[in-house]
Amino acid sequence: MTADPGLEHNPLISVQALQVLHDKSYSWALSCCRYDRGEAADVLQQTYTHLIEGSARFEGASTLKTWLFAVIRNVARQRARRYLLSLRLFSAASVADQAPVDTSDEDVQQCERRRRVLDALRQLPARQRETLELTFYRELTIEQAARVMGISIGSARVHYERGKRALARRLDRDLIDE
Amino acid sequence: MSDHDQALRRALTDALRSSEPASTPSFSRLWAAAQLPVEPEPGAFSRWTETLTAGAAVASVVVMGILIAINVRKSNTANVSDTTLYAQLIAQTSWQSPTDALLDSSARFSLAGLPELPVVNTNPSLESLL
Repeated sequence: MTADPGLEHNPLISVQALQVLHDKSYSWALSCCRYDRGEAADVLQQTYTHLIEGSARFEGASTLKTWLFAVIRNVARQRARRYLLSLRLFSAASVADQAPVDTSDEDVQQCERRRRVLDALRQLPARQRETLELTFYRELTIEQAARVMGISIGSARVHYERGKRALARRLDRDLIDE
Repeated sequence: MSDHDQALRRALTDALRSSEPASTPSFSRLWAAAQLPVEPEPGAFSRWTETLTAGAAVASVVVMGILIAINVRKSNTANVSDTTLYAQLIAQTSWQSPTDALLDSSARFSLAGLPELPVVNTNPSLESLL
């Protein structure tokens, strides 16, 4: 197999595959960076640098998406640690500030419902929040979410179940069933 | 996945999707930037020195605090034994026979007017006891 230019250290990855995953990767990086767009772009760029330099090497033990998400998460955590930022996926200010304000085709009720869901999600413990986001929104399995978070599958299952219960408790029935 | 889970998933997906920005930085731009040779970040050294200086300052304050606390504790709980005190007292005391100089002036004056008392031998000799 011939490696793509720039990916000699990671022959199992193609530039095209990275390009396909780029939007999802950026979205996950945003989530890991408290929705700071500049920081998310830096995290993604640094992730690509790791891939190019071979300091992060894909061995094919999981899907590329799972592995890439794990690398992005690690890079974001390292940077957060470096700058003494806590890794909170959602902060009131960031989500509220970044949320689109376009209400032309959305009624106020819908905006309110989304805000309440995000608030409820934000109040969950970090691990539960990450598990729910990765499984529900990023469409990973619990096993893949566990790999991304670097925890055991059993722990991920516990976080998943507890997160679901806690989120359902915080959101009333009408809000979920709408 | 149960209906309830599906509903939860829909609500969550909808809310998270709404919070995402419409635009994404292009892959080609980030990929090209990632391929550039990495240069040390400007100011990285000064950040290190700042961190070290701040760490040293905090450590010295902590050490000073600990030393002060230890000294205060020592002074509060100093418990010198009677033997030690007695030894110090002995060391500081000069053994001389008492003289008038040890008395204050008024005592010396009053003593001067008193009749001389007869000397009584309170230490009988061995011969007198036999």
